[in-house]
This record gives sequence, C-alpha cells and structure tokens, in this order.
Amino acid sequence: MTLHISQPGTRREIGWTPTGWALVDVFLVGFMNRTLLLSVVRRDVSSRYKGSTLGVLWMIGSPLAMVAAYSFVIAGVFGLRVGSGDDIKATVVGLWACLAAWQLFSETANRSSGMMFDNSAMVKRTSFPLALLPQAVVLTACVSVSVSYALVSVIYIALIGFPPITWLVMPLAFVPLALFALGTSYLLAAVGTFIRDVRHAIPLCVQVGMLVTPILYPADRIPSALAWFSLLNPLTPVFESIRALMLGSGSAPWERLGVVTLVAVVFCIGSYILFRKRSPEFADVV
Amino acid sequence: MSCDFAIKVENLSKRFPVRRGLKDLLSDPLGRKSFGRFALKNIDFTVAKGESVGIVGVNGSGKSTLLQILAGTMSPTEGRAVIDGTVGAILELGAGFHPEFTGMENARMGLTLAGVPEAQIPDCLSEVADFADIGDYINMPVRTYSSGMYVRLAFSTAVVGKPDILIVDEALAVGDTAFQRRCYERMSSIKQDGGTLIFVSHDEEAVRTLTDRAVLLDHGDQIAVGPSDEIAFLHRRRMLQSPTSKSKAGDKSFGEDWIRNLSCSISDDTGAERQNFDSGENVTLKIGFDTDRELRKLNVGVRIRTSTGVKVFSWGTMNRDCALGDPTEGLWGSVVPPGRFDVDFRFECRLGHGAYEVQLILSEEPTPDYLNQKILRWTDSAAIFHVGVDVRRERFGGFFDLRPDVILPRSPGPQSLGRQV
Repeated sequence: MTLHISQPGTRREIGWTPTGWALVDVFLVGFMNRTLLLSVVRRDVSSRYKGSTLGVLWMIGSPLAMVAAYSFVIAGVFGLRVGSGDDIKATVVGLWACLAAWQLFSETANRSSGMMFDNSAMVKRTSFPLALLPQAVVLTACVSVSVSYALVSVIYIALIGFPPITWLVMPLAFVPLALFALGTSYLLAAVGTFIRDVRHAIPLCVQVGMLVTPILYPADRIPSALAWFSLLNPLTPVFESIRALMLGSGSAPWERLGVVTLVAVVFCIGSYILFRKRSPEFADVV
Repeated sequence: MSCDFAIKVENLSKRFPVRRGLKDLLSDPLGRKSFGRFALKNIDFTVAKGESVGIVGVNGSGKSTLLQILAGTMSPTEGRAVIDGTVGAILELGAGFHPEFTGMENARMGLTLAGVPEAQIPDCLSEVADFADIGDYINMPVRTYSSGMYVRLAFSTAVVGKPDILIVDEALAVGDTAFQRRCYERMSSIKQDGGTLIFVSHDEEAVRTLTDRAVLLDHGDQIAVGPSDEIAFLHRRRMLQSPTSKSKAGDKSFGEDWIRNLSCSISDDTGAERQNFDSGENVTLKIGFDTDRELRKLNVGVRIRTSTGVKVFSWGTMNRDCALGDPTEGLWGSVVPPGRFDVDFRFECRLGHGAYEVQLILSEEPTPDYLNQKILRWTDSAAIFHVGVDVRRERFGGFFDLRPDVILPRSPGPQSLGRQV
C-alpha cells in the first residue's frame, strides 16, 4: 500500500489513485480528491485579496468597473443595441453576462501557463496530486464568475424585471465553456512549464480571443464575409446561447452547442493525457 | 506488502534537461532529448528499517536531488528507488507554505498534503502548535515569521504525522539550540519506534552524531557508503583537498606524502601506556611522525573531542611558542631536520566522565597567528581515552572541572562549613 517505486516517469502523489483511463480520470480526479481540491480553491480564493484593505470588495468592484467601461464604449460611443428596438438595458445586461462568462476562460488561461512556477514549492516539495491544480484554477474562476452573475442578476431584476424562464437552462451553456477552460488549463500548464515563451503569448491570445468571439457584439452583427470565422470559433455558440438565455430573447443554438460540448470533452481528455504524461518532469524544470 | 528494507536505491541516475536557443526549441519542443550533465550518477545503496542514514557532500553534490527522488516528487532519469512506507520530508524551508496564511492554516494544509486523514487533523494541529512552541505567532501570517520560527513550524508539521521515513534536509540548522535538541530527540524517538531517518547535511559532525551510516556524494557520484564516522572523516579529507573548499589557501593539501606515521600514544606519569584515567590525573600525549623533508614554522596541534563530536579543546605548539613572548624561540622558530620527530603534551586531565578522541594536525604557519595555515598532515582518531570521575576525590558534572573558589557572604569561615558536612 505504501510501497512506492521512484523510477523514470513517476511521481509520488497522495490521494486517489487514477484508474489510467483518461476519460474517467479527468473528471473523477477532482471528485475523489474533493477535500484536497476544495482546500486549494478556498486558499486560492481567500489568498487573492488577503492583505489588501478592501478585501473581498475587489471581487465585486472590478467586474462592475469593467462592465461600466465596456458599456460606455460599446453601447454609449458605438451605439450598439441588441434585442428589439432601442433597449440599452438589455444591451448592457447582455454585455455583462458575456463578459463575466469570458472571465472564466480568460482567468483560467492567464493563470495556467505559469501555474507550475507559481506553485513550485508544491511541485518540488510535496506529493500533491498535480492534476488538481488546473481544476482548482477553473473552480476559482467559477467563484469569481458566480459573484459577477449574482450581481448581474440583481441588476437585471432591478432594471428589467422578473427574469425569463430561460435562466434555468443557462448552466447548460457553461458546460462546454468550463470544459474548454479546463482543457486549455491542462494544455497550457503542460506546455507552458517547458516552453516559457507561452507565458508571454497567452495574455495577447486571450485579448484577441475576446475580440473575435461574439462577446462585445451579438453574432448576427458579424458581416457575412467573416461568418466562416465565427463558425470555426468553438466558443461562438456558447456566447450566442448565453446572451439569448440571459435576455430570454430567441432560442439558443442547441445543436451547435451539443457539438461544441463533444469537441470540448475530447479536447479536455487530450490535454489531460498530455498533462499526465509530462507532469513527473515538471519538478525538473520549475 | 512489506519489505525488509525501507529504501532501496538501484543504479539511480538523474540528468536535468537543458535547452538553449530557438533551434533546440524547434527540434525538441518539450526538452526530452537535450540533457545536461549528471546530477546523480549510478547511486546504489539500501537503508534498512529503523536505520538512520546520513547523506553528506559539499554544495552541488546532488544531495537535494537525491532527497527529492526519495520523497518521490522528482523522477530519476535511469534506475529506480523503492521506498516502503510513508514519507515525511522537510525539503528546504517550509515546503509549500503560503506567506499570507497563518501558521495554523499552513500547518493544516501541510498535514493534508502529508496524507493525514481529515478526522485526525484537529488533534495533530494542537500537537503541531505544542511542538513548534512559537506562541501567538501560530495565528499570524507566516510572512511575519523569523526563519527560525518558519523551520519550527515546518519541522513540527512534518513529524506530527508520524511518518515511517523521515527525510530532513539541512533546514534544521536555522533553529536555535533548544529546538534543535528537541528535534534530535524527536528523530531518535521516531527511530526507536522503528522509523527510518534520512538526514542530509554538509556538516559532517551533525551526520556523525545523528546517523549510523552515511553516503558520501560528490558531483553526483557516490563516493562511499559506510559507518558515519568513517564517511565523515573521508568527507573532511576530501574537503581539505578540494580546490573549491572554503579554506582560503588554494594549495592546502591534506596529508603530504613525505610526512608519515603521524600518531599518538597516551601514557600516565609512570610512562605506562593507558587508556583509562581518572579526572585529576596527569596524562601525556606522545606524538610523533617521520618526515622526509626539513620543516620550518611548524605547529603540532591537537584537538580533543567528545564521542558526540563536540570539540572540547584545540591547541598547538605555536600557542606555547607565542606565550613565550617571542615565537621564534620555540618550535615555530626552529628547523626540524628530516627524520623522526617526537613531542609530548603533558596535562592534568580535568575532563569529565566520557570517551575522548584525539585528532592530530601538523601544519605550517607562515605567520604566528594561524591565519595562513597550511595543513601538512591530519590524523583523525589518533587515540581515544576514557575519563572516569573518582567520586571520592572529585565530584562534578559536565565536560570540564572548572574548580571554582567559593566565596561566601560575611565569611562564616571554612570551619563551620566543614562541621556541617
């Protein structure tokens, strides 16, 4: 039980022993080690604002400021409107919902490539199961997104009124998004640990990603000449769905969302396999 | 499954990947083919259950890499290490402590990472607080800690989970003496309960006192495995020979070939060789050596150490020469011709009960202040003698009889004291 053989390509890790089937492991590893995972997430969330005077107020203040700035540019300066007529409220709420959702992806991507360096003590000095780190990053991002969504819900009810029934199925749109974030996290953590240039490329890619994905604008505003591009972007249906379900206007592209979810699952498993294969070598380079 | 050994290292090698420039990046993106030099090469030894083993070597000899492989956080490039049992490791200061969290929060995390079941954590935490003994600081962020407090917390967290194998890196050196002593006590109690101890240090004395056997590493090579005192001696000899040793003179060598038979015998006032003395008796160290060359500016030094390696006395003929006022009038100022040379050190043995080791050092002292010392020959364990304290004549504890005078207030006079006894 406690016998460990340290040989090429191994790392001694505590907790649940993976089955070796990536399809199962990638989803089970977090659940089976949930105590450990949650303690890392708790620490992650509370360490973020620890030592700062305003503390958790930043968690509320920063998304508010972000949305205010984007609303000023998009709805104010460019005069973009979504939905029927000249509804600035719906425009702002839709923008907010999409920006908050994008935060799940951007925060994860930005933190993942340097993850092993940021946790080098854990990598080199402890038997912590490293596969939990990307999951912890995604879960931590989920916490900030939840705060944003709590805020936007309050604003919606205050400005527009009773929320549409479509809110109930909104989590479905988040499934592929979270899976993509998790897959990206595994991939970037594995690659970024060995190729440090990745760290510098990621913030740029995230910025570009936000602009080419229908977040600041609805997908139907994309000119037909560029439509092929938004078809290739797997995140397009996710944000189309979020905007539609949030505002209760029109239905979500369910079929495309289903396809994208499948792609996300495959991507996640592939990234996880790469990560598992390379993780015993992380201690060599961090 | 259980084995008769705790750790078995089989032909283990480690090389770290290196990558230089864009070409390597393109041809070998994940750095699998390009390796640097060996950090460890063909390491092979076994540690029995309940044994304590030291790993010694100068900085950069691969000690920490080996520990990380034993702890399982790093994988070897070739070979393997089989580890039977749970491992508690203190690899460098405060493994994974987060500076913004309190000692308690970090200890909780540390215990979780050590695999302590959730239910036992509250009990363990109070034990950690007791053992670390850092008072209210336990509830302060660890960034406010001194390095000593840090290591107290780290050590406490590592030992409380009662690991089968305890791996301790050099971190302990930071703690104060009282805490170090408690750590050593804790380590020996872990040993007594059948636990295994792996202790790493470049301080051969600590290794000698704490461990039964030791492994000597140098630039990743396993130089020797054997009893700790032998390995410690070997390590010191190699340090003195090494050009990178911290001694300032570059050409200091250990053991010139042309000085032979540097040895010492011990006798009493009658001239009879003896090894057991009572405190208060006279002891003579008869030191001698053969030299093929003429010697100038010579110092014959002795160091007397306890069985635990504590140096109680170190002295050389040059001390006496200097005390003469003009050192040139003593041995230091004279010329020793080739051939046999003998010198006796006679002293009243005021040492306490115990066994003592005599080390001999022959050195050339260009200046009469030990600042430009060049070691000519060094002999470890040249002689061993035992001191018993005759309780009818002398009564004291400790290493040394200070023979204090007693001055009483308002001088009642020694007679009145005498009557009371």
